[in-house]
Amino acid sequence: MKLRSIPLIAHIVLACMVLSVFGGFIFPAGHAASEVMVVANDSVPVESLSRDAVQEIFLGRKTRWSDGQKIVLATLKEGDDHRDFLRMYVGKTPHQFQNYWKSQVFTGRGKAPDAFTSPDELAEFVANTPGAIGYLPQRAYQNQLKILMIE
Amino acid sequence: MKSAVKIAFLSALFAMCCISGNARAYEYQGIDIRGFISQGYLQSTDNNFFAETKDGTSQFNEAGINFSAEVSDRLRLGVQFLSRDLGTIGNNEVILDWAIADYHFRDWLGLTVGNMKFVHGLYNETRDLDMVRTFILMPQSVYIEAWREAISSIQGAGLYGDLGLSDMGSLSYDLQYGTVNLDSDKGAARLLEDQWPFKEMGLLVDVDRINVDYTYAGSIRWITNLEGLILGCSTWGYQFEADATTLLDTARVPGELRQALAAGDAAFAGLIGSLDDYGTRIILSPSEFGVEAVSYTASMEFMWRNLVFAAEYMRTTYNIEFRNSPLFTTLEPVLSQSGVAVQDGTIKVDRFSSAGYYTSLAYRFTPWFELGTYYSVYYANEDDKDGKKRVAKGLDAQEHRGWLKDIALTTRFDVNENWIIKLEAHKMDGTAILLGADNPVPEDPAEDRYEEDWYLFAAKVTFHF
Repeated sequence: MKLRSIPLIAHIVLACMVLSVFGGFIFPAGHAASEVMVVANDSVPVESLSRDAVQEIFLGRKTRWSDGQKIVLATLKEGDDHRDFLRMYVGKTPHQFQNYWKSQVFTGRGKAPDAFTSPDELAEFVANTPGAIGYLPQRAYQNQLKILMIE
Repeated sequence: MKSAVKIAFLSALFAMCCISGNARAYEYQGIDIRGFISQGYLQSTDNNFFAETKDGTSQFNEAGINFSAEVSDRLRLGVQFLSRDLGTIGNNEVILDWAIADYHFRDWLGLTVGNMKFVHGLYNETRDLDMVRTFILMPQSVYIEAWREAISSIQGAGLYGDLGLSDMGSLSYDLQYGTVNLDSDKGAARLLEDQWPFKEMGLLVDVDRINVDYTYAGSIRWITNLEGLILGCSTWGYQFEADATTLLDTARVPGELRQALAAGDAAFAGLIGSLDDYGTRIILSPSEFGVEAVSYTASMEFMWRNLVFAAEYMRTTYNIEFRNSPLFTTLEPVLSQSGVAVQDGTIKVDRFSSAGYYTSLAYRFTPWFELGTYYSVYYANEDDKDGKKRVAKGLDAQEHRGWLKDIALTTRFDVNENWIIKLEAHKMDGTAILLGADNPVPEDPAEDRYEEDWYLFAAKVTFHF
């Protein structure tokens, strides 16, 4: 091999891998699933959705309600509730979901959903935005929101 | 003018980076603004990979900024400017990557007009976006670097949509038709020059202009009801003409060709122009290329929790012809001895297909660390996998120009929402996709031009908002 620095580079890569693999065990991601409910604005003309429909909506493949009203997405930015919702209804991890929407945005295919830091902010947005749909932990539920049953 | 555009582009990008300060897009009066900057470093042993990588190069970067707005419920406008560099490709010229008007009639029907991203395989549309994938370099069997600009975006119109299949999942489709602006100083031109079959005879070409007649692309993805499984197939086609300067490298002309040129002196008298800058190359009558390429790709992606598995197979069939009536007519006796038929001053290359596949696996161990690997195999001609025929025909001097087998290992670190660092190593067997322009003939005739077994290392840092 002609390159003197190869062993050095290979060692750096190996060291990073080992460190990070151990990191994976040191910082496990497991936790008890929280109770997340799917909520919508009062104007939304449905009372229930299938799990597949929830997935299609949050991946931007279904963009209109049955009455032609535009679907407006609201998501949490991070946290256990966000992760649990994505795992249960969208089939993606937060990282995969974020990458999916970055791909859509940077290729001109769509606009990323509004993301909120707290469930209260999200609840307020959904309550005041016609066509909006989002998800919340049960503790953050507000009366003016419509709870959608997931079949 | 170009430098003014570059300065304006970089200034806007820098300003947005400073203003946004976090991973969210910057929004100004309903216009979303997003961007990214990637800077990489490539180091290889033995062969140059699209740049002077044997010496180590930082001529490996991408930067982009996009603006998009929803004008109405159904109409969306957007534009993205991109600058990239990989050795002699790109040179950080700012280009219009995509600019679209998109009207969404129904979920199953949308219309896009303008300059839109080209659909091919699972990841072609996002290949400029380092932050959405694990790997630095895409598997070269399906995402060949030299073809990158040719299948980056398409000017024309496209239809797309999503169809629900009830219990069977859903189907996404894209149909695109239009044309592509191909520069004569980028990868496709270099690839074309490498396809010229008379290099070993001292006859060379330098592509001056490429005129694309038409391009089309289509893609179907079936999002199955098995969670995380996507199956897809895609196709694209090209027809273009290219004009090239033909050069005779007097230092490399074999004896029989030299004799033929001498014998054809009278016919050649009017062809020989002037010595070029190097003093050893004579400019001959211009050559023309006619190229038709049709490609098919089958794809599969499976996501299960933090694991992503992908596999793709691609086959591209080429019809290529070379036209240079005065030259080929003069050289006909020599060419016919090598089994090359000249008809009306045109040489038609036997239709051939390149083929390749890869399988990749990526696992995210923690929110900040991901490990990925892939195995990629590419054959320049699927009927000549061991490269023996291309050597026998004089297309190349080394058999391993017929394949490239690549084992890659990548580590990705998400430092925070905005910053990503990646390190990647490749163990290569073969030299199929490497360009002659990057790997010149060694001065010492005893030295091989390419080495069969070699390594490539890549590092990249990306900032995005």
